Amino acid sequence: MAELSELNKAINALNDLWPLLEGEDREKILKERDSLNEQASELAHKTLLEGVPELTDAVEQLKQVTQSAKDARSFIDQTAIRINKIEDTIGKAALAVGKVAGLLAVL
Amino acid sequence: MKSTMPVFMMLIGLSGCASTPLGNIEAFGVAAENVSDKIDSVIDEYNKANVSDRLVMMAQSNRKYVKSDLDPIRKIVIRDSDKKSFALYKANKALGDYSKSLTDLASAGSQKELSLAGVKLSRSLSEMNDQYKVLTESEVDIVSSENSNKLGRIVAEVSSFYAGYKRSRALKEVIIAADPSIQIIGDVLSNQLLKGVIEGRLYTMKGNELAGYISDYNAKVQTMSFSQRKKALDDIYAMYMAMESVSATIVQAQKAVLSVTKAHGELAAELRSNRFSGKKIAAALKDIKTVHKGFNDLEELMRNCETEIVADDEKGIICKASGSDN
Repeated sequence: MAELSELNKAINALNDLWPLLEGEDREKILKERDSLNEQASELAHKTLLEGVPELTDAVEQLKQVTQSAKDARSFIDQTAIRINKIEDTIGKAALAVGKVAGLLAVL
Repeated sequence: MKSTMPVFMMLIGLSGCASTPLGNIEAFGVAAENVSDKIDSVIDEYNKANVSDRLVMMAQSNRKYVKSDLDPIRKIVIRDSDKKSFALYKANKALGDYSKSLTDLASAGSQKELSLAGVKLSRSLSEMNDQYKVLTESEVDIVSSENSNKLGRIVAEVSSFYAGYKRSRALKEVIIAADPSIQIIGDVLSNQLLKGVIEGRLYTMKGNELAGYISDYNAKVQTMSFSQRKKALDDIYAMYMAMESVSATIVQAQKAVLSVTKAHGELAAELRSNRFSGKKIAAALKDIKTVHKGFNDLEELMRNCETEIVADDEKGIICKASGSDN
């Protein structure tokens, strides 16, 4: 980050110089400014693309916690599913009882 | 009295967990969404500025150009348009995903869902009782209608408390575990990437353009009238002000990031300290009372509804009116 800051400072300083120059001097300073500007652009892009190690680690950790939150939600949602399972089992038992009653009536 | 004390203590304990500030979680979700928008607009502005900067450099040179000289610009557009590869974007997305998972967790095990499960259980018990009476050719109930309604209500109510307890505990663990990462991400996004990289580059790129207009002015100043000079300087000054105000956009994005880290930090501190104010406990107890009343009403509904008990998005758990879809 300090390197980028130095590059920007140098570019800004050259921008305060070249508009006062003419001819070859102007071209030389502009070329230097453009070269530094390219370097700064590349460095900025690289930093934005790759981030810094502490950011990468923090993002990874946050992803893991996010997964824990999703797992916890899924676990809690199982409560309603469990009641539904009990209801389903009782429903099946009731059906079986009905069938037995039907058979007994025939006999 | 002896037997009611543990229950009362459990309610107090639950109320402590139940007072997890869900409102703050919501505030956190809104703030996180705001960050996403702000960062998106900053990335867009940064991309446009990069393209403009290349054109500025070309315009400030005396070179003549052909079509292929524009290729590097096209490469910048392609490269920068893939925002998803930016660490900035990834961090922003991680924040957004976390915020959504937190909101989802806060609404897990809804009372409506558990109530319907209780209703179905009550109905099954009642059907089983009817079948039993047919089988035994008797009029004696094994589970009376009143008891099956009561059982359905109790199961739903206990499940709701259980879900609420689990939810509060999970929220507490998740928020406390996530806080260090949230604080680091907020700090890096705000101070290093937004302030350190983007703000500096935007300022410098605008300065590159401004220098070109100043150079034009200097080259023509000897031949210009006062009014021409004034007009040219007005334009240059407007551009200078635009360059100086670059940080305003960044400050907005920084504020959005800091609102997220602050909201989360407060939430985590509150949960970490386990200090719940009397007001909050009272509010939580009131909530528990309301929940209990809600389940009493459910039992009443199970007893009296002759059609079907359904969940309505606007009215909650209701008895379906006969001869209608709702």
